[in-house]
Amino acid sequence: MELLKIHHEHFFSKGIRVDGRKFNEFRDLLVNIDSIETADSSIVVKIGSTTVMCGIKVTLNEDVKALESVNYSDLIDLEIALHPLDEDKGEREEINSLLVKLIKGNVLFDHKPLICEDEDGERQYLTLNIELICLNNDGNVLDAFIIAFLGAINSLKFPDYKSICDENLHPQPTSKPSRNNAEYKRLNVLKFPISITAALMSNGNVLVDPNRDEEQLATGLISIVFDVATEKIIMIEKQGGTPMDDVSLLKHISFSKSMATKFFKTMPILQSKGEAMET
Amino acid sequence: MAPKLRDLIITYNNLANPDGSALFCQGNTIVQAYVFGPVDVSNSKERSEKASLFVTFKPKNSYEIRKELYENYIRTVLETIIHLDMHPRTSISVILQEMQDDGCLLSAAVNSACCALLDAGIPMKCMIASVTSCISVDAIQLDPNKEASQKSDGSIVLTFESSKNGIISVTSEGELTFDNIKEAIKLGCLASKEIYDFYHKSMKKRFLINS
Amino acid sequence: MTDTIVFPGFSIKSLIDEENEAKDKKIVIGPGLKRQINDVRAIKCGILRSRTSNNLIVYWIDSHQKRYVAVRGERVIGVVVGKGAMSVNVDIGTSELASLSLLAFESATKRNRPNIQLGDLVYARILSANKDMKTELICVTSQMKKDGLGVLPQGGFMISVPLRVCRRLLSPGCKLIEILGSKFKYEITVGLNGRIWIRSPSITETIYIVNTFLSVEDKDEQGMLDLYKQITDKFQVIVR
Repeated sequence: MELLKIHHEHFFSKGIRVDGRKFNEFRDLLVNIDSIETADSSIVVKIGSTTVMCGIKVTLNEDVKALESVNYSDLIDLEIALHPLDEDKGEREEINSLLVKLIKGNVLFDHKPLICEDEDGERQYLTLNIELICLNNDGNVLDAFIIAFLGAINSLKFPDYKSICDENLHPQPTSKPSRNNAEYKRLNVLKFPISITAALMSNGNVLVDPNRDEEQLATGLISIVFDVATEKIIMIEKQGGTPMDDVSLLKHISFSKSMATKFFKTMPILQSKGEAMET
Repeated sequence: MAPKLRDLIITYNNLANPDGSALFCQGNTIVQAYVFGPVDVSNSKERSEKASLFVTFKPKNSYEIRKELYENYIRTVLETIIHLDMHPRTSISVILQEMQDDGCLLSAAVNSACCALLDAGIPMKCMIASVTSCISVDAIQLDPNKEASQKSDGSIVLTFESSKNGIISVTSEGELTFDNIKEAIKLGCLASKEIYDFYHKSMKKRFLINS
Repeated sequence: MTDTIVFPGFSIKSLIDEENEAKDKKIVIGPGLKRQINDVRAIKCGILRSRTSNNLIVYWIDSHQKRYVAVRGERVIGVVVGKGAMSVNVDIGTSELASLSLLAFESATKRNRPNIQLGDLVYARILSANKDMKTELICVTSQMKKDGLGVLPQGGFMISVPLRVCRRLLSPGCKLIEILGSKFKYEITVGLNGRIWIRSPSITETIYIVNTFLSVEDKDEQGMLDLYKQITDKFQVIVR
C-alpha cells in the first residue's frame, strides 16, 4: 500500500494521474444497448475498465394489491450485485444504500403507465425488476450504475398488461419475438440523474472519476448527482475523509455541474425521445 | 432568516455503566449517546494498526428511518476525527438511542456522539458540529422541526470540524439548487460556531463543579 | 493560560513559546496532549495544567475519565483471572489483560512460587505499557523489595471509582484518608486504575468508608472541606 501511495504521489506532484489524465478528466465512456434479449431493456456501460450492466424486466405484481395505497417506490424492485470478492462488505452496503436512496427516494419517472385496469375493472400493477450488476470494478461504480440505470429506463419498452398476463400463462422460449411492436408503452422520465464522483486524497487533491487504486488510497469520496433537466442537485454525499473548506466544496460542485451537463449532451441514449431536450 | 438554532441542553455522564455518555437535546429532538472504549475485541474484528469503530443507531420506529445510512454517516465522520491509531487492536463502540424526534435527528445524533466521546476521554483530533437546513420554495430554514422538514423540498446535513472549520461530511435529500447549498453552508458555518460555544460552556460548568 | 479548560484540537504551542521565552527549559508533554509536526495539540477535553521543577516544565491535561489506559510506573490493583505455568493473567481494567510473572515477587524462585489463586486481588506496578504489546506487571520495586505490593489479604472490599477520584485521594492536598484514619481503624490500597481496596474490622465501618469514597466523585473543594468536618464531628474515636 505504501509503495502504491508513493507511486501515485510521484505523478500527483506533476499535476497528472497515473493513467495520464488530469485531475478533473473523466475516462472514456462506452455504451451498449439491448444486448440481452430476455430483458425488456438492457444496457452495458463501460467507464474506462469499470463495466456495469443494467437489466429491466416488467412483470406482474400480485403482492402490491394488498397495500392500501401504492406509490412510486412500491413498483420498483431494485437488486444491486457487486462481486463479493472485489470489495469488502462495508463498501457494498454503502453503494447499495446510496443507490436505493437515489432511485427509490426520488420520483425519477412517471409510474402511471405501470398501473392499468383490466376487463373486470380491477387494478393491476406492473413492477419494474431492475438489476444492476457490476462486472468489473475499476473504481467509480456509482457513476456507472447511475448512467446505466438512466439509459435502461429511457430505452425501456414494455407491452401492456394483457400481453404480460398471456406470457405468464403460456411461457414461450423466447418471449420477445411474439410481442407486437405497436403495443409498446414507454415510461416518461421526469428527472435525468447524472452523478460525478471524486476521490479526496490526504494532501487535498480532488480526483474526478477515480480508478480502483485511487479509490483505495483516498481518504473519502464525494458524489454529486445532478438532474440535468432542471440543473438541480438531487443528492450530494461526502462521507468522512479529508475535510474540505466551503470555498473548495462550492468550486467542486459548480465544476461537477458543468461536467454533468456536458456529459449528458454527448449521450443521446440518455436524453428523452419524442421531445427535443433543451440542454 | 438569521441563523437561529433551537435551544441546546446537555447532560454529561448520566449513565453509570458506559465509559462516557451524553444526553443531548436540540429543541425537542433528544438523543442519548454512550460510548464504550477502548475495550477488547474478537480476533475477527480487530485491526492491527487502528481501533475498530462500531456505531449503532437505535431509532424508535425502525421502518421510518434508514438506519444504515445514519450509521454510515456517523461512523465515517467519527473515523475522521478520532485518533484510532492510539489504541490498536481494541474497539470503540458508540451507541445512539433516539429518545424523541422533532426534526434534525441526524445532526443531533452526530453532536451527541461528539459529546459522549469527550466525556469518555477518547483521544480526538478536533470537535465536530452538525447542522441541518431545509429548503422550501426558495426559502432556507436552519434547524427545522419535524413539521417544517416534512413540508420542505429538500434538506442538507452538514458536519463541520473545529480546527479549520472544514466540512467533513455532507448528505442531502430531495432537490437543491447550487445557491441553496451555498446559503446552507454559510448558515451552517455560523451555526457551528454557536454549537462549539455551547460545548465550551457546558464543559466549563462540569469542570468547575468537580475540579 | 494553564488551569483553563481546553478541547481537542486546541493548540498550546503559543502558550509553550510564551512561557519558555527566557527560561530555555526542557518541556515534557504529558497525558492528554499530542505532538504533531510543528505543534502541540490537546486531544482530550479537560483542564490544562503545568508544573515547573528544576529545569523541566511539564504540561498535562486533567480530564474526567472512567476507563484506564496503562501507563508505565503506575501502581494498580488487578484481579487474577487466568493462571499459566510461569505467569498469571490479571485484569486491570484496560482493554487487554496484563501479565504478571510469578518470579516478580520478593524472594520468589522457580521452586518457591508465590501462592496466587484465581480471583485474588493483586497490587502491582506496571513494568511496561505499550499500545502494541501486552502490559506487564511486577510486584517488587526496583530494589527487589515488597514495599506493599503483592497479593492483597483476604477479607477486604474493592470498589471502582472514576480515575480522578484516585488521583485526588493520593494528591498531597487531600486529607480524607488521614481524617478517616483518625476515627476508624482500616487498611486502604488505592490503585491508579480507578480501584480502591478497603479492609476494616466491622462491616458497618467498611460500608461507611466505602460510601465516603464513592461520594468524593461529585464534590468540589468546598464539598471536601464539609466532608472532613462531617467526619470529625460525627464520630468519636473508637477506643478498644
